[in-house]
Amino acid sequence: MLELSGKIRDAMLTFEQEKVMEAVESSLKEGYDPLEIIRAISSALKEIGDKFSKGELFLMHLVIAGEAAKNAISEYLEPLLKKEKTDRKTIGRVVLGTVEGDIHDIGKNIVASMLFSAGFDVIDLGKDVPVEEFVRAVKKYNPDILGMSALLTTTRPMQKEVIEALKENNLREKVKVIVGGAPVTAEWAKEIGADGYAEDAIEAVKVAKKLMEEKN
Amino acid sequence: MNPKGGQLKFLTNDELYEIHAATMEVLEQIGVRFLSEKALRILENAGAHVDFKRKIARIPEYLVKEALKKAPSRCIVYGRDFKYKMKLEDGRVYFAMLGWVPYVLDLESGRRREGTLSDIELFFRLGDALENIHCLDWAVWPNDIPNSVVHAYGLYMGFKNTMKPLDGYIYGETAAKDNIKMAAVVAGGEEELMKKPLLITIENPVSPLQHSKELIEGLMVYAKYKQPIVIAPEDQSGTTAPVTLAGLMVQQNAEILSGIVLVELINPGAPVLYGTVSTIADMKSGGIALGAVEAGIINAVTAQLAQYYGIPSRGTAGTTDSKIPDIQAGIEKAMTLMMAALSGINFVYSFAGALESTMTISYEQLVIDNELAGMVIRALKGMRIDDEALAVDVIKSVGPGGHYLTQKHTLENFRKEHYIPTIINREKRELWEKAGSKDMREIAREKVKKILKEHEPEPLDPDIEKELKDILKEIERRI
Repeated sequence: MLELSGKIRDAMLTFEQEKVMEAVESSLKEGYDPLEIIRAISSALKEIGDKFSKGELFLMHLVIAGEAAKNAISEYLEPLLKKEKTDRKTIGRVVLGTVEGDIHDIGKNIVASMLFSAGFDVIDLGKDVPVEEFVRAVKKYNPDILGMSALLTTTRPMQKEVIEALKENNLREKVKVIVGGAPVTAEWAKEIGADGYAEDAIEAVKVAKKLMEEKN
Repeated sequence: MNPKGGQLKFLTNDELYEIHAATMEVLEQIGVRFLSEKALRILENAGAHVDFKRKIARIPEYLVKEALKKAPSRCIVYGRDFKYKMKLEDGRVYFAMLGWVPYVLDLESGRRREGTLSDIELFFRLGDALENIHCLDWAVWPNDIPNSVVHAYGLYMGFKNTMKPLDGYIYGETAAKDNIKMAAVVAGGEEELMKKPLLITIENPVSPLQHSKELIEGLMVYAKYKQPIVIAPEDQSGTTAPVTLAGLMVQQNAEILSGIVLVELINPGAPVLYGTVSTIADMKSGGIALGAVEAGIINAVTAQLAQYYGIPSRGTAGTTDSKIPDIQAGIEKAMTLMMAALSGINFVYSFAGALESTMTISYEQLVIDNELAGMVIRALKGMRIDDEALAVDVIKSVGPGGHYLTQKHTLENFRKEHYIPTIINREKRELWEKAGSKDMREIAREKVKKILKEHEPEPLDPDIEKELKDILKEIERRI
């Protein structure tokens, strides 16, 4: 087990997607359980997160590691778990997207990657997502949290419209709503009746975790 | 991408020649006062026209040309560990901590007070840890030891607490000899010291057109031991120099060149730097305005003249007339430092930590100036142009609508392309508020405390330390 976590950790710390994939593949061949490998990946992500907090690593390191972990888990490990009829243990499900009229998605992508790294099950609806699609996704996936990003002052009102549509469809009580994006402030989040708001991706994870605690 | 200046040029070559020609007229017809018999004799023997009664030497152009021919186009100043060095040449730019000032801004009270020996040690330790400050100096005049041993204790503290190059004290022949003796111990003998200079020192002519006895006789000691000497007048436009900047440059040039002539007569080939502390006078009070924008222009033209003559240069930039680390300090320092650096001045002296027209040194300001120096060094690196930097491959692979955050190209290049700040705050408002809404001075103060708590300078060899202490005792007995 020590050997496994060391190997995965070293691969993750190269910040090279291929190295992570190789390490996961060879660990599977050696007969390690997919769940154990996921645990090793999570602990490496935690170490990377700690290094970031100390200022030793930068945002891109978090995102690269997050994406590598996500790819390894969704491409290799989760399909195997499904076969075995077990699930990756997640701390909650998040559906997120950039609102209609807005094609800025790097911020939303970073948040998605961070949430995944923190142990959430993340469903990313992409960018320029219409109001109805947010509603449909909430019905279909039954997430704990819905996240909406808007980078433009002109698209920010769409966040409010989605919340209104959730109310009309009697879905608002079923899901926590978090909003983000450059023009979004705590005041705005309160005004439109969102449950949470974060200034950046690091904060977003904290807010999401807090909302999960409130929910449970 | 090596950090190099030289991008900023205010004058054309023809205009530089005009300054040179005007200067020759001043040197030949008016001359410069040397308040030292020894110096006047040396100059007379070489062919200058000396009036011993008025102590003035009129210097013909051929003496200037001979001196410039003998003066090296480059020099290196070493720290006690030779891997710390300043290669004063080409467009390379190095930054020094302020030194020898009367006051310090107390870290706790924020008030100005007189300095102590303990301040000297703390500033050396702090400066030793700051990556963009290349040369250190004993920061403040200590009022808790006798005046006549300050030069020796100052240098001892330097050798003890940093491996970076240091500054030698020049006021008077005895003090200069003491410092040379100490540096020779660290270098491993006088011969070694001459090969690898450890002390850079400054002679400031007293404008208009005078060299003081103490400085000239100190200078003669350093010249003998081939330690780099900076000739740096403090002409003030409107009071001690013509109000026109060009006129100031002519007078300054005469002062510098006359100093260089003397150095090269004492020891041909001795390294000299073409320097300036000049700026404008504040025309309301008559006081000096070291933070003036004009100081930036004067620094840049000084660098140009030094390049014209083919010798290394020294400026005084990144200074301020503000009393505390505030917005005025930020504006004045950033403006003058950037101009000086972009002109390719080799050695920026009296800079880091400086406040109040270099009357006061501040711990917080030193940390802030380290950040400013880092940003200026980044500017000197400019923009790299090659296939990897043009990044067509990575633009192709990301494509419209993608992002670069996860690209290997980003990971491999961001540290080379971006200056990574140490105390500049770029957090969003809410996070900044949560962390206590601290301004830069407060953040810098915290960093000072952290460094002083954690940073241990590389210890000095115990045998060398003992020898230095013996010299200190000897000097104390002498008085």
